[in-house]
Amino acid sequence: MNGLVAEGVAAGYNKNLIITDVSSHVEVGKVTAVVGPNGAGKSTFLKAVFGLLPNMTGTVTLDGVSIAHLEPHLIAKMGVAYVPQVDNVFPNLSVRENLEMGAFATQSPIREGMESVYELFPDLQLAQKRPAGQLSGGQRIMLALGRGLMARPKFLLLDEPTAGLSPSYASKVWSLIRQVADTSKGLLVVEQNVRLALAGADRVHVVMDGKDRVLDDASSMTEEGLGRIFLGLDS
Amino acid sequence: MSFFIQAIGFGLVTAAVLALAGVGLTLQFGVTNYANFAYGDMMTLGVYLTWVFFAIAHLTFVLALLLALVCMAAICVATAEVIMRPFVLRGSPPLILLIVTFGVSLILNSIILAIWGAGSEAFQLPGTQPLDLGPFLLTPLQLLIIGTSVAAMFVVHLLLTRTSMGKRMRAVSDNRELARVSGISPTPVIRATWALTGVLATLGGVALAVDASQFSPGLGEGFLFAIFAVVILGGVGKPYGAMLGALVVGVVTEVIGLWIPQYKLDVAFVVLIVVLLFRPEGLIRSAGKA
Repeated sequence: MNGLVAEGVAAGYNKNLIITDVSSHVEVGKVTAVVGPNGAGKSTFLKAVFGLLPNMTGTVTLDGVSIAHLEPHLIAKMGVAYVPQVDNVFPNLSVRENLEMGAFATQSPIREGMESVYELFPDLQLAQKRPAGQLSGGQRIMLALGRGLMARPKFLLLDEPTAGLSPSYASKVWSLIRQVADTSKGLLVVEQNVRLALAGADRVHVVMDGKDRVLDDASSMTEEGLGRIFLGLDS
Repeated sequence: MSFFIQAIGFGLVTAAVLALAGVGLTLQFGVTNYANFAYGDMMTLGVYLTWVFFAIAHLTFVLALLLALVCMAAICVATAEVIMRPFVLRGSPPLILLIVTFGVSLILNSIILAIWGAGSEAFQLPGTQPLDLGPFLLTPLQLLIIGTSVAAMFVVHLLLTRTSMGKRMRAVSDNRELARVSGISPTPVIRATWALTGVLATLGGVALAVDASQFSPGLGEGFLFAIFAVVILGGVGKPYGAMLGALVVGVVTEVIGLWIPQYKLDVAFVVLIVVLLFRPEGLIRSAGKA
């Protein structure tokens, strides 16, 4: 199967499994949003896919090639970028240097990469010499996304990119996610805000208690339906 | 008053030595995330190697020093690979790694004692006659130490801000997990950092030995705590902080040393405690947490 496909993923920290059986997929040009209550294991799933959890079991393939159990820096070289929820910039490096680091994995051309990132996020160009640690929360997530894009990945894994942002900034982030997907990239996005996920993603994947609940087209789901699933009213 | 200004002059020399040593220690601390208590012995070993090439093999001083820099870069990388890396791979916490570096310190010190004995040696370089430089009275050798230190700091600055490896070092030091996620493999960065540590430790050690006009196997170890004061003062992992910390510790210890010369190095810790009371992050404020 083409795209980024994870099947039967189980993972956690040390011996504690947080997710026991999660499967998801995303194709180029599409956005899959992973939603679920706090502690459901959404972020753990993303980390497992990117090779950050050594005790992970299950399969992960990139266009049919297995990437499970590879080191994160090798997965990055193969065209997958991961943007963590916290600690997602190098605080003492300038904005420009942060972007340069993003290009390192695939040795992508820096100048062109920066131009296209600055086109998406004009704010960053104005702040390019400032240390990333001095940016506002919104600018910081832009930089984190920009760093991810610098490697010219085919797939991007975003962990709660709207956490802590104002509602208007959060919608802005989702419109950027859409724009990025339209440049033929696939995005797997963990999102707390169900409304944003339903509006912005092609597919919504509900994870609860470390297991899959629903994976379906966003258009066939409603906020109310998801609410019932979250509250345990629908089985 | 003239004594006071004179002490500032000596303070600049001490600051130059501390900056060389401190930057090497803080870079490694920042990148590998553990303190290296063998650093003082690495300095001493660098001094003895320089001395062997200079006084025994009769090379020129500059050539002897360059050879020693290369050797020490290799020795530090080898030590990190052979002794430290297995502990790191096992996931040992920083405290355990610190204790391992104590072991490395003992090993290096014993090697130095076994080969060269416990006595004092000297480089016997020319240029020990003080020059009258306005308010300062410094020897050509001391001026050379200051010049070397300033030049080395400039080279380190260029390395960290202009080269890919330097930027990767700062990235790993800043946020190791994100560096890994960005496809930056930590191993080559850690090796390069240890090589740079070896070079700076040797430069610092030789500067210290030349300034003190003689050296023995305890040279670096005796100075190590002042270097740690510089590193903590500047903020761990911050090379520019260490440079500033060196300047403060160097000048303050020499000036206070006018009144209580026997406690000169202890003054470094008084400075450290006072600064940390008011600025727990060290002299240079971080750009913020990620």
